[in-house]
Amino acid sequence: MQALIKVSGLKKSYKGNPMPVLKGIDLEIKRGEFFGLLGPNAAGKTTLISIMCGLLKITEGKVHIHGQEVGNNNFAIKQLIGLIPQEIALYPTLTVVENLRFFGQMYGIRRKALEKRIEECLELLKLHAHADKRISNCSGGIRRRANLMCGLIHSPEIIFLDEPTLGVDAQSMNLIYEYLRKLNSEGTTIIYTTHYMREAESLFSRVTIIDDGFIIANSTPARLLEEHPNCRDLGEVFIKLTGRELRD
Amino acid sequence: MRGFWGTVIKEMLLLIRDIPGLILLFAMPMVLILVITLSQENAYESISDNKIQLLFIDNDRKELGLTIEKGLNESGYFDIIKTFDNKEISVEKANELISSGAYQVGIIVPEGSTLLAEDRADAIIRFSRDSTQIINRNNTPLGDIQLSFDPAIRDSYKNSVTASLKRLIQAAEFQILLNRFFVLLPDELNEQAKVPIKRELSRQLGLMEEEFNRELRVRMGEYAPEDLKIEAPDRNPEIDLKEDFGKNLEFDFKTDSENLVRVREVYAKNQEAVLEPTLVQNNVPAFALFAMFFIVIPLAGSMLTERSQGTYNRLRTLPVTYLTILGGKTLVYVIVCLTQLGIMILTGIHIIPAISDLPALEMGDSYFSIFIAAISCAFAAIGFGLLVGTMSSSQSQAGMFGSFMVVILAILGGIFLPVYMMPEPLRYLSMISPLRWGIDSFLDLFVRNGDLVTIWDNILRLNLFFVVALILALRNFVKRK
Repeated sequence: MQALIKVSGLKKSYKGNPMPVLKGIDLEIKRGEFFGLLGPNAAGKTTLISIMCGLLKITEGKVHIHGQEVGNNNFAIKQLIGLIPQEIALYPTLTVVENLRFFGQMYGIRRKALEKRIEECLELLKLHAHADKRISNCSGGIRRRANLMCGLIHSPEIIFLDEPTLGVDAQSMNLIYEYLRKLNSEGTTIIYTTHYMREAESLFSRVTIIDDGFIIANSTPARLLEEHPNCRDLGEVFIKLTGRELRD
Repeated sequence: MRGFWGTVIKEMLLLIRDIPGLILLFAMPMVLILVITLSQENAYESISDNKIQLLFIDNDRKELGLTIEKGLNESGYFDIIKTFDNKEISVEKANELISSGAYQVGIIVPEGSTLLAEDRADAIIRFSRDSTQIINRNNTPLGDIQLSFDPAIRDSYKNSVTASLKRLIQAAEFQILLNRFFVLLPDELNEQAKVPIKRELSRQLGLMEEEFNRELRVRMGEYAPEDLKIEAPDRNPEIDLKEDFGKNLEFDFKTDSENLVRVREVYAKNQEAVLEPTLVQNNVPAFALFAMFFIVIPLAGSMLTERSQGTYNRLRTLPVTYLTILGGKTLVYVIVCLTQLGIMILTGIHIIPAISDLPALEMGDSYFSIFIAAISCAFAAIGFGLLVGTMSSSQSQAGMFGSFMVVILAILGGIFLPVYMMPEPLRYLSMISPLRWGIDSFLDLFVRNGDLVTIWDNILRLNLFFVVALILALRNFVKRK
């Protein structure tokens, strides 16, 4: 199967920091994959996702999505992707529905279709009861769910999720997993970063571990466990590969 | 107590690591003080140090005009301008230059003013000889000097300049009066001396006649005729002489009603001008504009909130142009600015006259031009807000920088102190302030009765400023690390 996302020779340095964050990443993500990106703090996960979404400039190398090069404000790629960032990237003084409506309008969804889609979103993540609450008045779990829905309002082909369940209770987390599995089963490609190894084991069809700007493992969770027979779970594999040393 | 000191240390560290914030914190107040002090320098020094540019049109070219010009030169307060574009300034040109605000003050001495003033002086000097002179004096026309002012000039400034000019004109009047007095004195003395001398001669002749009669009677004795009588003199000739001269040598030209020249103060107007300059006409547009530029705080604040909350990154992944995102903001804030202006105008029209003795704001009839000026000012203010919003790295930085800059641009723009009262370097510097372009446009429309043609250059500047600010803001907005 042809790669939906192709990353070749990717290097990234930030101005004022001589040490590159990404030191040569080569990666292919196929259509319909539930792709997990793991790594310790400051490994470069968020940088890699931001580059794939066109938010950061590439220092060296190339990233292609659907055969098109990322960068230069490529509208065709932007229409394909949905980003769910780590932080609650919503307007706190707007209600849940108002936020959904705003982002839906920005994706050019027509009024009737948008209202229908908003209803669907509220239903899918059980947000109906909180639809008219301002984000600033919502609990952490509701904010997370609303944050997720705003990135998915336009039903993107590719979803980038950067630690979407950070600080969420088990119930909300479970609801989010179910929804993502459903989307993935319908053909949506998901690129997901997390520090929760259970998420990785239960959700991902393939896992890539990056550390210190390099890919150090790239396989399915089952294969990784096979390759490290002394490890009981993916968490132990992760520690074995990245070490016990604390990171910045 | 640990918590307290921990907080103190944390805040100190946050502060000293925010270098731009520190620069703003310390450098901006310094700049503010400098700008305010320099711009108000003239207000305190009145009109003593910085010369007032004054258009001087002397169509008389005789004593009155020459004396005034000499006085203006010697006073050191005025910079006399008699030519424009290497051509002598006509009355029409002076009116045009002053009504457009290019210059604030002009003095026009019409042809024949000196002759009229001299005639008037002659009439005053001779007035007490007989009652017909008083009639003549009242019928003698006065010389006519015109002080022409920019309609947008501040009253305090106008009064100060007028007082100085009137003193100079009075000096010129006195000079003419004195000259005429000495010209007329010999004739007057000759004329006035005739009466007492005749009377004295007559009296002396009378005395001689008496003496002769007495001598004749003595000599004729009993032959003397019955009607030959002696009438003794009943007056002291010396006193009579003084009284006669004193009565005819009274000169009184000290009262106001006996000025040689009438000074008319007028506001230079273009032909269709109907609006009268008032404090309201000046202050409403000035402070509306000032308020408009304070849009920088909420606008920049909203952009920085987006950035800190992550919505900025989300916006950048949306399939819309950045111009769409900034354009949407611009439209909303244009509406805010126009609403602000509308409220200020309504305040000027309804509230100010209701709560004070000040007249209501008059807007003239150039509503379309006012709308264009307002929208251009709004664009410039928003452009500035977008620029500050995309340049600053924190809300506090944007708030401080934005408000300081607005105050400085307002001072330079003449919101608090008219530009013509500032020292020359600041007057030039004021040309880069969008608030000056805005206030000049509004004053042209509200006070000088201008139209779109009058304000086109400032409208162009305001819109160009917006375009440049928007381009820079877009550049900052799309700049990826």
